[in-house]
Amino acid sequence: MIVGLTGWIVTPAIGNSLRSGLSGYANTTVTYVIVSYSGSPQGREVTLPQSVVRAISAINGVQAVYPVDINYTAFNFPNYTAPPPPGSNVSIKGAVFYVASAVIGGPDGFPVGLVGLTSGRLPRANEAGFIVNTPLLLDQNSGRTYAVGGSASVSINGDNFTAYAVGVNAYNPLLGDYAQALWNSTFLQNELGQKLYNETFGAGINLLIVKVATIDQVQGVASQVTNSLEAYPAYGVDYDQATVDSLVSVETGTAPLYELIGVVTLGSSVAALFFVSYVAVNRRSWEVGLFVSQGWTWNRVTKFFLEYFLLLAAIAFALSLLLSMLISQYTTFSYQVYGSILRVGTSIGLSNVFSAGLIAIGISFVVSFFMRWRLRKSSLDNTLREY
Amino acid sequence: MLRLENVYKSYGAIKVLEGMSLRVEAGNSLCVLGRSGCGKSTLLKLIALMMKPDSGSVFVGGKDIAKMTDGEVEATRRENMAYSFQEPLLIPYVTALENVTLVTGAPKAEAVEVLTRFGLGDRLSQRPPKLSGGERKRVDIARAVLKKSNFLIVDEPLSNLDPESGSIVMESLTRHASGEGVLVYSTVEPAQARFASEVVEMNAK
Repeated sequence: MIVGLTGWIVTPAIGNSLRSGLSGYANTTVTYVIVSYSGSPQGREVTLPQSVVRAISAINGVQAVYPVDINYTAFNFPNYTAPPPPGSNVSIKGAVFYVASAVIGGPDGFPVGLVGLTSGRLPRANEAGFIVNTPLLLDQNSGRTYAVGGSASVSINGDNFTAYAVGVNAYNPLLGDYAQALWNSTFLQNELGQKLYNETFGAGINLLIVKVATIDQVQGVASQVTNSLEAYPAYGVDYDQATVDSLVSVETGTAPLYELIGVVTLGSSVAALFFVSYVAVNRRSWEVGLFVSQGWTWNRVTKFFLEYFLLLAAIAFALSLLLSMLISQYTTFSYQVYGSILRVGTSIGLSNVFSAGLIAIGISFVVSFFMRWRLRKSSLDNTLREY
Repeated sequence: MLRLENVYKSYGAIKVLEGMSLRVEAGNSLCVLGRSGCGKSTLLKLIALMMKPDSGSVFVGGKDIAKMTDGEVEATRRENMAYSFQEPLLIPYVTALENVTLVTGAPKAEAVEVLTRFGLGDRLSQRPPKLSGGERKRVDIARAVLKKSNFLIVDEPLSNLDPESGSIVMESLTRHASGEGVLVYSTVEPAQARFASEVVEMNAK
């Protein structure tokens, strides 16, 4: 019974936690459609007007639109010689590296939920911004890279600021780029001055983050967003259908499987309990015969059975609850999503605990009345013969 | 009053009782005398309504049990019969005293008094596996006595008992039949029939 009740409490809890965890994750993070400029980084002069933002905002299923201004800074290294690619002896001389920076292009600010994906933080008023912890982004002076949550002192025009690393691939959903930085626009405006800031970031919107209400609307919204961008062929629409499908598959496949396992475990346990009770009571049916021969009514015998099985059920319930809590502590599922690890823990549902208690009581009643029926059917002499 | 008329009982091909008839009035005691295997226990169980005859009639208080429902037979047995088994039937995991009080619901003081009278005053808290055969037998009989039924039916009350304990037990049992009660007991020893007002002798099959 302990195994059955534990199975009943834990396995649906796993299923429910998986379902709600993945569902919550999917609905808050995977439901993003990204509109980005797909041409050369230098072609940022093609921007999206507010009318496009308004049109996309009006699409059914769109929860919010976050316009962003991405600026690409080119670093020219004319004396840099790239090593020859494998199988070739031709070296490439001179290189240009681009670093993307972004500021919020609209009044709604950056979607906090998206940053939460990687446990990252938004730059605050006195912080210069974030640096991203990728192999390509390292401190040129010390040569070190930064772990998630790590910080570095940044000196800009003689002023020192603290920059924080937000995590690996923090902005991949937005750009799919390597080295990126999200800047605090207030800081940049103060730092660069309004004129330089406008020259750098004031060109207009060249990236849209579209938040869709639910997973199943993502595909439809992406299709309509594409239609809205007919006049802007340099812009492409991206969303991660594979991840959506994968999460939906886990949500609709794995979670019900655990619920099924819970039911099967409980069913098997109840059957086993019946069998064990049957054998146990059969072997000691003489006791019932003794009670009846000494004047016990069958109602009193049933009450005796019931008290006995309820006591066992209470012990089994308490132990299964402890076991369930212990198991749930160590049951965590990890999913690799967007380069981050999504961890879904198991939390025991009160409804499962409550129903497990009811099931324990129910089994006690059923077993008690079944035993009464079975023994009463047999003659008293036969019952006593088991002694 | 108890009456059996032309009662037959078989276990498969073995005929145990063939046309048995007897009658016991209130305030009397009946000894069923016979060798081992002659059917004494079967007869006592029939009298105690713990089994039904294959044919014939059993009357308790003038009522034919063949005409009663199972529930009525159970109620009649419950209200009128106290039975002590040939092999003491005791619950092994409770004490001697609890074997009496738990099953009969008799007050503890009364149970202690009877068990002490039966020479078990210092064995009250012992569990059956720690008791001798004679002690277990006395606990089983004490339980039947404490049920205070009209019919006290005891299967071989003196088996495993020394003469002194046997006298004490039989004195207690026969006292039951001195009022309105009926005592029915069985024995293999003809000398032990002297405690009864009536004797039925059975022959081995």
